[in-house]
Amino acid sequence: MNKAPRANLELPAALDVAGAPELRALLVAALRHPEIAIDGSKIQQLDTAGVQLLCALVRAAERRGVALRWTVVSPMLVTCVKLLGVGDVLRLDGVRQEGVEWFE
Amino acid sequence: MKPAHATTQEMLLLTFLEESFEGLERLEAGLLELDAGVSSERIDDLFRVVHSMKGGAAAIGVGELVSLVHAMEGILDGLRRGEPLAADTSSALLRGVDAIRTTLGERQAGRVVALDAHAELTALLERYAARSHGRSAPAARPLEAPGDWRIDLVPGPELMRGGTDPLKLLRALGELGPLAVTAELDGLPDLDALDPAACYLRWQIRLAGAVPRAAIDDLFGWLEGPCEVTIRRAEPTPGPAEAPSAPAAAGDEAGVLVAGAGSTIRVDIDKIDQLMNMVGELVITQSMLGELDGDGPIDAARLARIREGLGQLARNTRALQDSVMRLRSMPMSTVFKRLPRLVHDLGKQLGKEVELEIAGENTELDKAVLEHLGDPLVHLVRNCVDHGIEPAGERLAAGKPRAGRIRVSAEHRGGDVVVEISDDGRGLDSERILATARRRGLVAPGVALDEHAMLQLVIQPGFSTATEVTSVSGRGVGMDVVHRHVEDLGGDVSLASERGRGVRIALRLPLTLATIDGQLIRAGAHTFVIPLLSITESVVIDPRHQSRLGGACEVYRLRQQLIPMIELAALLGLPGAHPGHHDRRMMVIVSATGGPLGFVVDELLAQQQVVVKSLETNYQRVAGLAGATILGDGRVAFILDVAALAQLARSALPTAA
Repeated sequence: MNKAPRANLELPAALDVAGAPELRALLVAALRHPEIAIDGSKIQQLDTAGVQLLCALVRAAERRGVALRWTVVSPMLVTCVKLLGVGDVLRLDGVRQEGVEWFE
Repeated sequence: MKPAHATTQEMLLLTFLEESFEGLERLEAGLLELDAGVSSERIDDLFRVVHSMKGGAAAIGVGELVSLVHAMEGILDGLRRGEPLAADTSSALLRGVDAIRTTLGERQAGRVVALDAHAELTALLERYAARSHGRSAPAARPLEAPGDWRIDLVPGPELMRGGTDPLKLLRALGELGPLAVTAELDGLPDLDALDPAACYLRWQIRLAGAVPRAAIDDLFGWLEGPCEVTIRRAEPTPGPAEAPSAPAAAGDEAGVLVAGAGSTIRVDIDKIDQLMNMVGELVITQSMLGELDGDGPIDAARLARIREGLGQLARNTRALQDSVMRLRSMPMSTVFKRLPRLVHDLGKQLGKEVELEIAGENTELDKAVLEHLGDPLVHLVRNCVDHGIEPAGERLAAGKPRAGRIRVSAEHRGGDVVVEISDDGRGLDSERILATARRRGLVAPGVALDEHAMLQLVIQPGFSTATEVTSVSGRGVGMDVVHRHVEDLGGDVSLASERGRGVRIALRLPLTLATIDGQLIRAGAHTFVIPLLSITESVVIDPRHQSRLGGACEVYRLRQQLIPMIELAALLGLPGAHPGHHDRRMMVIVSATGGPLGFVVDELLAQQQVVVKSLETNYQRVAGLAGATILGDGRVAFILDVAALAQLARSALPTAA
């Protein structure tokens, strides 16, 4: 494991099925650090694939003992998490919200 | 819901219903006094009742109540924080109480009302709540109720790659109505291993039941790609095991409902203790008698002790019987509790001020009698408010206090319970009564009657003085019907009245009432009741099992037994009986000394609890009949004395079976 200080993971604007492979690579890379600070404020496009990957990230972090922390998220992410019923996994209650409310 | 939890759920629901009905009574009592002014502790109490009802409803899954109760809670919350009480608020809250009672009553019967059944009332209450809080009405979303849609969404792995996004689907569903989504992530592989474009999640969705199925189908009609969608209604929570036998709850205009009536009864623990003591003594007596049994001569001394033991036994059994009968008795308050609300609503409706005084609500009466007392009592009190009590102006002019007074009391007198209803209104108009009686031919022209006799006309069958049928009382149900009702219970009615001073009506009811569980049967054109206790079983006659013994006695082979067949109609000497004509009829097998006997009847009717009316007191003793009862449609049905009939039948048989 890379013993470098924590990773600052800035999630891209588009978290969708098209960009899913790149996103996964990004997440896997971040997991090499002991600590990850996630910035989700830039998210403008989101679909199930994207949220699914985030769920996988959280699970993988748990398994590997990596500390995950959400620093800021876009309201759109919060809404989508609720809609998809994955609020137990992606715990975003209380995280500062900034950015795009909703698409369309 | 897994089957293993079904019974627990049933019991939870029953408890919730019981507690809620009690809570509703407290709530109603408090709301009736709200306008006059109540202490802040009382308002706190009312708030707590509603608050816990809301929590209970949500937890148990009675979702159809949550919005309504939540709105009521909002109003009470405002009140307890010192908000001023707006006019009509208490009436609106009382309507809420009625709505909850109806809904819970449906639940008791195993039914669930629609989520939007009380939408209008809820909206009204929410407006009241918002008014007092100065903010927009809170939105409560009941999503755990049965009757809601349960949708299972199981996408195939390729769904998202094909361009369909479950997120969009769920968003669209959410636009149809309140939604609760649970995701299942069991199938999600590790981040390293998964295919980023494949769908590993599945969902369980609850959607408000008010959404039409067509709308849901339309939505999923757009779905392209591999996906399993199952749409169904959530299972209704099973109702209580037996259908409760609610008494005929008069749906009176005032909207008062009888709540919590069912086939269960709450009993004081003291009564149970008493019962246990009785049984204990019975056991002692029995063992004492048992000791006296044995070898050796029955000498005078032993005989004396046996006699003593038997006397003790008789005392014990009588005491036990009394104790058990008393278990069935309930306080008058169960019937009286409907009255304050009735008087309040009716008074408002008619613009009259009426005060109700209740005494003797702890007086106890057999449950069966009590249940039949409700309607007559309601009717009489209604009459008082409607016809008896004058409007305030008229009262003041007559030198009476502004508000009319109605007094309802119950007390033990001798072997009976006397229920009195009195008012201080106008009293009965004996002239009008006489005129009506003459008109109806109940009194011959030219016959003069004294005051007392004129009053008694009111309770004659077919009498009703309401010349205009007011929407409130005059539905053709008159004092005569009340009288008949009370007579059926073995009691009677007396009436006293003074013009300008008021009316007093006394209902006298017997303290105990004999009821039995019976099987109604038809023999020929007559209906009879066979006590269930005597019946072993009933069968449809299969001619192949019939045979004749010794040329005259018909027997039926049931499993290993030969049972003598007795044509009941013939035995009872009914006209038109056909002995021997047994094709596809029923046989009721009873147990009697000497063995079982099969009574052949034409039809098996209902099984029900019947009130035993004595033949001796009403007519004369008839061998073979244990009494009579009056059926729901007014016909008389005789109750068969199985032992006596069996003996009669056996003596007529050529050979003993």
